[in-house]
Amino acid sequence: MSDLLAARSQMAMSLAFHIIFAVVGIGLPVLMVIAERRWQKTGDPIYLELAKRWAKGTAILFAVGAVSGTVLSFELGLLWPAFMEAAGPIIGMPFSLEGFAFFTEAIFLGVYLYGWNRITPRAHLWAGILVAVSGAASGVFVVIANAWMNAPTGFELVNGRIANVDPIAGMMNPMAFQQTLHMTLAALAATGFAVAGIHAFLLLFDRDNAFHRRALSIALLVSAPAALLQPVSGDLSAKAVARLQPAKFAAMEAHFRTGTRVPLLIGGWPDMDKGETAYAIRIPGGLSFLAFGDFDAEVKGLEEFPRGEWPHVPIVHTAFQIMVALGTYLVLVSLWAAWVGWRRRDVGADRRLLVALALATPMGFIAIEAGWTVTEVGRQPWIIYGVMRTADAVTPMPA
Amino acid sequence: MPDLALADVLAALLALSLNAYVLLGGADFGGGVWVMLATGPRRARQREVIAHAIGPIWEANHVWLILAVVLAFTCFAPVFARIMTVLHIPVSLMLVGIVLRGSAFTFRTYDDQHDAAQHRWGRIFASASILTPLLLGVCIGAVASGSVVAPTQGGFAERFVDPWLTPFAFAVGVLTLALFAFLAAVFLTMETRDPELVEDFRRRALGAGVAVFLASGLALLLSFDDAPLMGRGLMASSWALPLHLATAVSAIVVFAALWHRRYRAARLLAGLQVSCIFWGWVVSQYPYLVPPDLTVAGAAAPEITLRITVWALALGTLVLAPSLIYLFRVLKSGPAHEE
Amino acid sequence: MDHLRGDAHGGRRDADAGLIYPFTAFTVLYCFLAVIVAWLLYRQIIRSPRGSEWTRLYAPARRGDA
Repeated sequence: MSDLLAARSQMAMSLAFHIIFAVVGIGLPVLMVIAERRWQKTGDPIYLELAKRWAKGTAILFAVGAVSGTVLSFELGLLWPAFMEAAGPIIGMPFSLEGFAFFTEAIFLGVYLYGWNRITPRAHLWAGILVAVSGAASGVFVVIANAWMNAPTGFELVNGRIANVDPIAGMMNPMAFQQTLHMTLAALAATGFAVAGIHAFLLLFDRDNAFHRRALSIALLVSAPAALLQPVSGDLSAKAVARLQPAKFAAMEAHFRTGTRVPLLIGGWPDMDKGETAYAIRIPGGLSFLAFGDFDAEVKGLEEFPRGEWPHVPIVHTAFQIMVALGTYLVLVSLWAAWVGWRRRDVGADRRLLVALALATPMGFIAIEAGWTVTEVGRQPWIIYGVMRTADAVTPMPA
Repeated sequence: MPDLALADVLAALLALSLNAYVLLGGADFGGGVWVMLATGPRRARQREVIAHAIGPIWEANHVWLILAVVLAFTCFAPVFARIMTVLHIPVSLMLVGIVLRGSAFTFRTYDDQHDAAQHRWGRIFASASILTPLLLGVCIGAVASGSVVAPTQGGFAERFVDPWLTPFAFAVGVLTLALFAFLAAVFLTMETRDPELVEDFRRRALGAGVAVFLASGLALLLSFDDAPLMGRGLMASSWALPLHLATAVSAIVVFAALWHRRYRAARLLAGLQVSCIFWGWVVSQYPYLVPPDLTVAGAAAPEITLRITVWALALGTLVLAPSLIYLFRVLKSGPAHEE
Repeated sequence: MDHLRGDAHGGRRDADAGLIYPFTAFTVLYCFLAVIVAWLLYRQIIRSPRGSEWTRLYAPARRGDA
């Protein structure tokens, strides 16, 4: 294994680990606050038990997320010192703000956990809301920094040097909105479906358990709307990628040759040497429409780019397909659950729906890891898209 | 060209946030030391007091380190890149310590209250609490000794091991550990009303105070050989004398306060003493952030970044200060710890 | 864009090399943590209250006790 590959693997592994905790840290406080609110309205002690348990879960995951996040902030320098030296003055801003959001979350989580008998119910609920809001805010700030790596703005290249930096313009980069929206919805959907799925699974063996039923209903309340909105946000993201990172877009869609009325490929295995994708289902004009809203639009293929600037097409394409497939499953289950709930039937009593939900337990997280793979591997060979190569950023340690 | 005054302000803020980490996060690490060294008939109760004192607050205390890192890579990116490259090995080991300390403590809090499980997590928590300050001190010692230079020549060991594998760096590591243990013991005298436990922590504070004295003497001695820049700075800078006087006076008064069981005063003065030692290091190497070549002005980010960072810090303080005060008031109010 | 290359990058980056050690160390550490966290979450959070715990839930006098 080369140092570059080891460094990329360590970064990927650290991110893949941390992202789960970060995502649950965004989603679980929302469930916790809803449970507490229901307890305050109904006085049903099961809701209080749920609020306390989810608070405990948030505390455990927040602690592990805090330390693994610390590792990441150091790893930026341990593994990519040249990147940080060039980019620090621009993307330091969202990281500073993230630090404050994280601090706020730590403080109000402390208030929430230790304040049950010490502050008014109203103040306690607000502490929970602040935990949820600051958790979401720290996710947003970190994703803004990542969006900058995809669509770097807020500087000029003078003789190949980053100059005249403008950190605010860096934060307002053209991928920021799409990526943060997509990630926040993903966090809510993944956490909600994981919780819903676990309790749906346990309900299969313990049909009338009130604890699992109430947990399931709150989890679905959060996850289903998020999953239903996600395709819209995904479409916004894809259109932005098509415009700003055409090579990544072409790799996602395994699209090699520039053309008009380009078909959308479902499945298939891209061959980078032949420049073809075998075994795919083709929907005529589909890709042109998805990328630019016009069935006859021209879509750039990978052939437009020098081979050295291609990301690894099979990984990016497969990861993208996995993400879309899992997202589609979650949309369908959401619709099904909404239908059952709307017909005033008991969601917790529908056995087949429970099985479908139980299957969904890991899907949100797998979709997030796959989506993260798309955005990170798809950006290669660049660490700052079009500006700095990953190979030039890796630490000179220990060679 | 960056505004020099502004760069100095941000370097001071960076040092301030490290200072806060040393005081608050340091005391939490020191708590781990006393979990390890808990002895006598009251050892289980000692450990309980320590866990309750750290529980609600260690994550908030930990954020000061993250703030320092973020300020370093935003405002002084070359400094961050240099330290993370040359000190890759001790920093990575320190991170392992940070991860193990935090997660073991959390597992200890939320796992079932069986003695066996508690004991296992407590052991990991305590070992990591000893390893991490040692390595933090080693990194500080390496920077202070001026050996963290651009790694251009030589073999692996010369570039990435020799800069920190020195007697001086390890003396600073031991000093850091002693300081953290001292802070923790002094703070812990205020965390329980049980007079026997207060006495236990008082004795530990006095002992750790002696250890601090010996370790700083050793570090000072070794600095003449290993860290001449620092030795000179400690002696020559115009700030040096008042800082040394303040350190010495507060050290003596802390001892007196502990001796006479004036714990509130002891806590305040112990914080002052440790801060004086910390700022003694900062001042001794000013204007260098990483001697012998990276200065505050030379490594500073463009002025616009510095200016926006100051605004972000002001905004953050506006949100955080009242929140922190609120947290402390909630924790101090009402019945003793529940969960 | 030469300056964007790190300050000490003459060398080839494809030889077998030492960065594999921190990678392995952190991988092992994180796998260990993942297992513990999953186990803890199941025991403390997910599992339904049992026997005596239910009676505690429905004893309003003690509501809010930890």
